[in-house]
Amino acid sequence: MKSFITQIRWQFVILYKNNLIAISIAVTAIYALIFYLIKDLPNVEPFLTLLIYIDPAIIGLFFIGLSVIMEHNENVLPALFVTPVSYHHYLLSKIIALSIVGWACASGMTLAILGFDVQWLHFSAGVFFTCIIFSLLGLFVVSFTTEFLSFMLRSIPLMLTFSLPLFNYFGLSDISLFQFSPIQGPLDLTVFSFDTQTEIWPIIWAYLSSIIWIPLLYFVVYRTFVKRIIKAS
Amino acid sequence: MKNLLLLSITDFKLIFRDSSLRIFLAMPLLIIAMVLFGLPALIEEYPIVQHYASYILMGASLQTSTMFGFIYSMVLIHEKDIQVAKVYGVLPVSKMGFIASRQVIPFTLSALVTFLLLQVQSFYIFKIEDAILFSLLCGLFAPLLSLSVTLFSKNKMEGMTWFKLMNLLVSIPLVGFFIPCCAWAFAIIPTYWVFETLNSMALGEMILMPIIIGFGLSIGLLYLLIWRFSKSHFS
Repeated sequence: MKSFITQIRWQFVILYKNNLIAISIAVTAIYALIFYLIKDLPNVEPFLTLLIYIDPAIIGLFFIGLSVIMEHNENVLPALFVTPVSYHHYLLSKIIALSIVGWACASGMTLAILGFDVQWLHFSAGVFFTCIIFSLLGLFVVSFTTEFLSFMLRSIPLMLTFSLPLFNYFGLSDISLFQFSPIQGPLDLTVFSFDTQTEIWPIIWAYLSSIIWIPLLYFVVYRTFVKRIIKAS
Repeated sequence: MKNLLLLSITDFKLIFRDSSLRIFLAMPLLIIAMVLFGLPALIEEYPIVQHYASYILMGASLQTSTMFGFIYSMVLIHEKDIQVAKVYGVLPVSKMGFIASRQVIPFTLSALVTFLLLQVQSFYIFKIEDAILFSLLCGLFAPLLSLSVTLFSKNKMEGMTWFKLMNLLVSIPLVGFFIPCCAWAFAIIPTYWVFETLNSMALGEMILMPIIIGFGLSIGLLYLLIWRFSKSHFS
């Protein structure tokens, strides 16, 4: 446990050194200002939901991939994995550090527009799960390419595919199959956090869906990452 | 001058060495396709979107420049990574001229794609001279973005982080259209004048004031960036 916490702390140091934390604070402050200015406009909640979804998704997907690419290119990984660091600790510490950054950014935006009038448990779970799923996606993509632009090119279509449930949310489609997609649970939890009238069963289903999908995705990603990156480096 | 032009073309060819970068060059065409086919289909399904067509067009126009800015910033950061920038620093050409010449192609491509976008969209009829001036102004944001992102970044991860912030900053003046009382607060950002120019074009008004201020701010900022870049990139 101590080594895991140390790993998380180091991940924060890396994020800090690469200005991700400082710039995320700046981006959140700008978004918060925008939200504060537009809070009296009608129907701003869907816009907020969209940004709360996109920001952690980008942080999770792209930044986890980029950090692995940098470590791979600078030959950090072979050096790291001859130490007794557990592969799980390495992956989970990256995912958790980025998810905390994503959650902090999303919370800042939400506070600016809705104040404390949010169901924080559902909100935090929704944002965290979104960030975790996209971080796993980033790790999956980076397992197949450690070239920066190639990673970006593969990530964008995958991000769009995973985001298809947004079409249902915005009323552009009504495809029930999306209910079973990995991102539907976290998206629902984020939406429910703004609404106190939601029934209990959709909330339970959203948690259940996330709790089933995340370990499943982690299992696939872990195996792929170990086989293609760790064993190959 | 001839040398600088040659360098600019050679630099552009670097993109074609990397298949990933080549695909990024096709991205602006996707934006055109979305405006040409996607937006009309969306308006047909949801007529309310028609009211926001000019704002969508503003965002789309700027995204073409943003895309080229992104590609070139990654090329420039990469050459910093592999220390090639230091080698460029000993070339027998003026540093500022060299940097400016390398930005000619992203600027030209961005301006051309923006012009094409304005010509193919079916929502407004713009005067050709206004469309040309607007496209040139938009085109300036490719060098502005690529130089600023490269200047602040030590590696690609930082580059991506800075790009996220820059992309937000250039898009933020769009908010001004939804809160007219505070719109002028965004006037310090050059893209405010880009959006104002397109808004005037869409309303059939004169674009003289926004275009002059837009060019003034953007060229001033570009000069500062090139000057700062020449001091730091090659050392």
